[in-house]
Amino acid sequence: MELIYWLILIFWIVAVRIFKKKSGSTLKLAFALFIIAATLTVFGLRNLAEPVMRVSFIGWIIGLIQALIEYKKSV
Amino acid sequence: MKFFARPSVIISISALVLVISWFHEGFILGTAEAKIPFYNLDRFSQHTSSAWMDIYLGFASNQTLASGPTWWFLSQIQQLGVPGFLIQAMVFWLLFFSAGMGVYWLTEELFPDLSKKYLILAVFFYWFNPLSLVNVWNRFLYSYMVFWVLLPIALYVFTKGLKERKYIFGIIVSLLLTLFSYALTAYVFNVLLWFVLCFTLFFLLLINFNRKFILFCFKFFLLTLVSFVIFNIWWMLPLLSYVSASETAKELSYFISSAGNVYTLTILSQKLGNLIDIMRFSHAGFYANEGPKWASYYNFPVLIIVLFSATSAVLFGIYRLRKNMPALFLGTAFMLGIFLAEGNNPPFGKIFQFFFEKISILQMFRDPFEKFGFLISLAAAPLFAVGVKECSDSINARVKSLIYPTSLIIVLGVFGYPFFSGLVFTSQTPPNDNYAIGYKVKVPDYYKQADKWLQSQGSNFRFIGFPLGDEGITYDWEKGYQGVESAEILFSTPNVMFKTTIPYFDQVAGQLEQMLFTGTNFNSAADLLNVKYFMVRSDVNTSERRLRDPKSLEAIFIQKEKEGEVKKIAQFGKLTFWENLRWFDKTIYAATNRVEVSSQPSIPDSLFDGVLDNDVLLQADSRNAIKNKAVMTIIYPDDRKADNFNDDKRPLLEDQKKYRFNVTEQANYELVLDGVNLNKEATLVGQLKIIVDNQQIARKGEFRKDNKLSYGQIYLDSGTHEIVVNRLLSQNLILAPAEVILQSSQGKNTALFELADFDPYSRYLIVFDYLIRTGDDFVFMFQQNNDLFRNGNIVPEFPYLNILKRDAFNNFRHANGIFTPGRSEKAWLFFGVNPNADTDVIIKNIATNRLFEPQPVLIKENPRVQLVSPKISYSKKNPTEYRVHITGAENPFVLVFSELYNNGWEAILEDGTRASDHFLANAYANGWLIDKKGDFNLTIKFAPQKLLETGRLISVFSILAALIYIGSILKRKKNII
Repeated sequence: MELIYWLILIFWIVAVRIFKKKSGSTLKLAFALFIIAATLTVFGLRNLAEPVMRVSFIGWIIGLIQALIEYKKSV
Repeated sequence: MKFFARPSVIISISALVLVISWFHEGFILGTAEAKIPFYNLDRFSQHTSSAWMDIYLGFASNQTLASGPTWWFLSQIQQLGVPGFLIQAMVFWLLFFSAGMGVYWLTEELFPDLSKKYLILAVFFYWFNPLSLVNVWNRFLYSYMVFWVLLPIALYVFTKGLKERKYIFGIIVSLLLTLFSYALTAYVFNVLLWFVLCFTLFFLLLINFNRKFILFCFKFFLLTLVSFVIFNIWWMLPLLSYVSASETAKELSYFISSAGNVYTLTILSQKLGNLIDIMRFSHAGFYANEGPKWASYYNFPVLIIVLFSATSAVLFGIYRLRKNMPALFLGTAFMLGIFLAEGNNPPFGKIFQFFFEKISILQMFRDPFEKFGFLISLAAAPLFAVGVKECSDSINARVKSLIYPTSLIIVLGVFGYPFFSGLVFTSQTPPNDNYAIGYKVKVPDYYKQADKWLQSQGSNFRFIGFPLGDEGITYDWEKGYQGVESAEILFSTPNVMFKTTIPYFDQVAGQLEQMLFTGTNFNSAADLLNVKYFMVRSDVNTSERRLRDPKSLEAIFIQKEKEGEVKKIAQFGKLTFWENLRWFDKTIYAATNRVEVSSQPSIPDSLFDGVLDNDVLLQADSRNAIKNKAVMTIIYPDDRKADNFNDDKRPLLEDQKKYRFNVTEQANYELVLDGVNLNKEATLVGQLKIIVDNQQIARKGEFRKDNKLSYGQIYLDSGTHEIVVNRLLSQNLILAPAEVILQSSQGKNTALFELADFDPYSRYLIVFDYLIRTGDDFVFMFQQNNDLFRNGNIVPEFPYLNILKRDAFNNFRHANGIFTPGRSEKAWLFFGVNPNADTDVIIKNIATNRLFEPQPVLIKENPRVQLVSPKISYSKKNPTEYRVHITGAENPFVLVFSELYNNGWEAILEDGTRASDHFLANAYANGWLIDKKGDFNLTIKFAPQKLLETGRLISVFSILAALIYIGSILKRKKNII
C-alpha cells in the first residue's frame, strides 16, 4: 500500500524536473489537493479523503524542498 | 488606554480571565497522572526533594527530581497561608502568560514586519488550538503544560542567539531549561526539545553554509549543551546512576518490551495518525468517542470546515511566503511535525518505524501524535497569523476588513470556547463527565483528620488501604476525583492503597486483598510489610474501578476482630481504621533464621505454618554465606503461573496437570497442596490423585494449621522430579431449569442465574447449549455486582461469548468459556434477547463449575538452631539515611531493611566498609548479610542521594556564575549606551 505513495513521490519529482516547474506550482497543486481532501472529509468520505490528503502531503514536502533550493540559489 | 493596548497586558488579562473562570469557585483541579499535588504542596515537595521517597513501600524519585525546585517554591507559598487553589490558579496564569509571551516574541523575531494584532492572534492560536486543548490541557499533565510553555521561549532565545551570533543566548537557553526543568521530568521531552533545537540549527546551516557560521553554530550548540548539563546536573546524576545500574534494564523489561512498543505505536498510529485528522489539528479519538460529550460537536460539518480553514491559513502562509526564510523554516517544521505525528502510517510511516525499532530511545515516542503535536502547534501558531495577514492582503478591500475579526472569532469563539467555559477540564468518565465538577476536586475534611491521627501514632509503620485496586481510582466526593491514586498526597504515612508498575511493589500489592480474603494468617503478611493499621474506605466508586465492596471488607475485619487479630481503633468520616494487634516495628530488624524459596519469594510464603515473625524470606541459591541451614525450604514448581485458558478450550475432568520440581538436596520433603479453599473445596479433596515420579500417593490429604493440604513426607533425590495432579471441577454452582426459553413476543426477554458459593479469586467454566429458533442472535454476559455502567448499559469485564449468533443449520450449538472474576462479591449468568426484535431462543444444559486448581509445593523443615538475635535500634535521619545500632551479635545475620529493594541502598559499617552482599529479602525489601560480632553501628544510605547533593552544589554555583556573567554583560552594555 505504501509503495504507491513512493511511486507518486518519484513520479511527482520526475514531473517537476521534466516540466521545470517552480515550487509555486507544486505548492498550489498540493493546496488544491488539500482543499479536495478537506471537502471530502466534510461530506463524511473519510476513506476517500485520506489518500488524497496523503498525496497532498507529498506535494507539500516536494514543494517545500523546491522552495528551499530556490531560496538557497537566490541568496 | 495605551497601557491596555500593550501586548503583555492583553496576554496577561486574557490569561487572567481564563484562570478566574476556572478557579472562582475555590476548588483545586486534578485528574489523571497529575494527581492532586495542590491539595498538599508541602508533602509533594518533600517527595521530590530527595532521591528516595518513603511513600508506598519506598520509591526512587529519579523521574520527579527535576520538578523538585518548582514544588519547593510552591510549597513555600502555601506555607504562607495561601490556599492551594489560588496557587494553582497563579501557576496556570503564569503558564498561559509565559507561553503567550514566548509565542509573541518568537513570531515577532521571525516576522518583524507583522503588526501587533497578528502577533496576538498567533498567541491565541497557540493557546487554544485543538492540539493544545487535547494534548496539553485536557490531558492535564504538568510536565506537558510546562513543556508547552518552554518550547516557544527556548526556540525564541535559541534562534535569536544564532541570528545575532552571540554566545550569551546559549547560556540563557540553558538557564531557561533549568527554570522550566519540570518539563524534563518527562524524559521524552528532553529528546523532543533537543530535536527541535538541532533541527533549527541544521536548517540554518543548510541555508547559510559557510565556514565561519558553521564554526559559530558548533561552538554555540556545544556551549548550550554543556551549560544545560552543568545547570541540570542535580537531577541528571541520580538519573544516570539509575539508568546505568545493571538491574534497571531487567526491572524495566518486566513492564516494557520493544515488541510491545511497536504494537502500541501501530495501534495509536492507526487511530490518531490519519492525515485528515492531523491536518485539522484533531485528536481522532477525543473528538470521536473517547472525549467528553461536547467534543463530538466538533465533528459537525460546519466545525470541520472551521478547523480546516485554520489549516488553510497556515498552508496559505507557507505558500505565499515560500521565499521567506522564517516561513520556510516554520513550514518545514510544520510538515516534519505532521510526518512524525503520523507514526508508522502511510505515506512514509515505514521510515518512522525503521528508526523506532533501531534506536531504542525513540520508543518513548510510541504515542507520536501526542508528542509531536507540540511541534505542530509551535510551527502553526506564527504561520497561522502570517497566513491570515497574507489572506487579508490578497483580498479586495471590502472583504479584507472581515478577515482578521473572523479569524479572531474562530480562534477565540470556536477553539477558545472549551477553555473559557471550563469544558476543557472535563472527560468522558465520572465524575469528570459532570460539567459542574469536571476536574474540580474537594477532598473531604476527614482525610485531614485521619492523616493527623496517623501522624500522632508514630512514623515507623505503614498502613494498607482497602479496597485495593489498580493505579486508577474514582472517589465519590462532593467534587470527586478520578485519576491515579493520590495516596501519598492524602496521607503522610506510607501506605499501600493501589497496585502499580513499580518492580516488587507491583507483585506485593497485587496479592494483598486476595490474601486478606483467603489467607488464614493475613497479619503475618502484614507484618512483613511493617503494617500497623488497615484502613477501609467507603468513599470510592467500586464499579468504576471494579473494586471489592467496602462492606465485605468491613465484615472481614469484624470477623478478624472477633478472632483477636485486629481491633477497630478509629473512624473518620468514611474511613475506618483497624489496628494490627501483632504489629511490632519491622522497619529494620535482624534475622538469624531464613526461609529459602526455590524461585523468587512472594509475600504469601509468610503464611506457611512454621514461618516465624523474625524469619526472613530469601531466594534459594544464594545466601550460602549464612552458615546455619535454612529453617524451612519451600520449593515451587518451575512454572508457577496458572494455565492461560483460551475461552474456547474446555479443560476435561480427566485432565492432569504436570509440575516439574528441581530439588537440589536429597531429603524428606512434605508434599503440600497450596491454594485449596477449605470452605468451598473440602468435598473435592477426596477425589484428588497425586502422582510423584509415576507413583501414586496412597495417603489422603490432611489440612494443616495453615489450611494447606498435606500429603505427608516423601523422600526425593536431588534432581528433577515430576508431580502430577488431576484436575477437578466443583459441582454445578447454578440452579437453572433443564431448558430456558427466551421469547421476545411473550415478554420473556431475560434470564439471570446467580452463582452459588461464589469466590472471586477462582476461575469458572461456563457451558450451555443454545438454539435460536427465531431471530439472529442473543446476548450472554458474565455479570458481577461491581460491573461498570456506561449510558445505562453494563460494560461486561469479559466480553467474549457476548453476542451469540444463529447456526446456519438450525441445530443446537455449544458454548463454553473460562471466566475469571474481578474483585466482586456476586456473579450471575445473564441471557437476554432484544425485546424489539422477534427472537425465540432455547438454552439448555447450563452449568457453571469452579476450577479446582491446587498447586503442589515441597517443604523441608529443619530444626531451628537457637541462635541469639542481635538487638537492633535505629534512628531515621531522613528518608535516605538510617543510623543503626546493633548489640550482641554472636553469629552472622541478615539485616532486613523494610524499604523497597533498590541497588542504590548501601549498608556502611563504622570503618567505612560496605556490606557487599546486598539482596532481595521478604519479596520486596533489602537484606544484607552482616558477618560481624559484638556491638557496632552502621548506616543505611541511599547512594544516589549523595549524587543529588553533589549535583545540587554544582548546579547552584554554576547557575550563580552564569547569572553574574550575564549581569556583567548587561551592565557593560548599559554603560556603553
